[in-house]
Amino acid sequence: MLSISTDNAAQAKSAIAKVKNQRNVDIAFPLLSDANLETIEAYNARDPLNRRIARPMTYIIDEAGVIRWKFLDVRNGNRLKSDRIIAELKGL
Amino acid sequence: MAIKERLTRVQLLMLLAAMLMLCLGCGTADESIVEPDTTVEPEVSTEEPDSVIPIDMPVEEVDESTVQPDPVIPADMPAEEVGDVEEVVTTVRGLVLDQITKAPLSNVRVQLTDEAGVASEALTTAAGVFEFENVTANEGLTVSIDPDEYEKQEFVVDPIPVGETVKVQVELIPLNPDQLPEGDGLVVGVQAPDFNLPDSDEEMVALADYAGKQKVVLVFDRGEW
Repeated sequence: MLSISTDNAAQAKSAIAKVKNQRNVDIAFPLLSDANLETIEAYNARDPLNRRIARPMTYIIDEAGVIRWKFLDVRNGNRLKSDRIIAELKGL
Repeated sequence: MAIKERLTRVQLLMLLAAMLMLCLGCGTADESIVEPDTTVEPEVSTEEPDSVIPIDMPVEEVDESTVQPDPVIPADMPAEEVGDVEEVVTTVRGLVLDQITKAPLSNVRVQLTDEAGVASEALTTAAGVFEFENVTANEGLTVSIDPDEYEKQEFVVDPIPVGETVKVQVELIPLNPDQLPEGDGLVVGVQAPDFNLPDSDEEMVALADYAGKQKVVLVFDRGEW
């Protein structure tokens, strides 16, 4: 699992620390920085309302690099539950 | 009595001449209509006054009905056909192409709508040609083309000069089935674009690192808020 946002490496680091401090949870996947929105743009994931950030969107990409599943959340504050992703992974 | 009669004839002739003069002053179109009567005048002068008036009256009526509405009517056109003159028709012909390949597109439905909102339809031929005949001239026309696989195109053809054929060339932009609206992501089934981005420890992570090894759950997020 990989996460992409416009945060830089320092912000990603502080986010990891914050989650660890507040919820005692280790983020076990890389938080990647796409500060210039190049990859966000390539995945057509730029927020249409706030064009400086990515819109919440989840993809499952298979071993051949093909997009097999996609979830697009309409509301910016929503986050996809992990069991939903796991269920989709199992279905593939 | 004879002198008196002559006087009335002269008076009538003068009256006639005055009326004809008035008619001549009306405009270009009635000159043609009046002309035959002016040639009649000399004959009238030798004949009885009673016969003059019936000939003269219709001429005056025709003048009033024809001259004002349509000064462009050909001079030799009979009065009865005046009402049909606005029905001048022409042709709109066009070629429909694919913008990328420039190939002609056949069987494309083309709609032509006049200013009154009356629409007619035509299909393009194998050569991509469509044609609308008997189109009313001097009127703005809207051409609309909306095939499934191409972006809709709509444009207005300027009022058509009488007797001319309007020729248009339309290039349609293919709709890309892989293209979703802005911000709606990519379509399932396409190749995921590769990336190579730094993580929180400035170490580079590429999608290609996982190719052939494992599936990747890729989450886009707004980041710290």
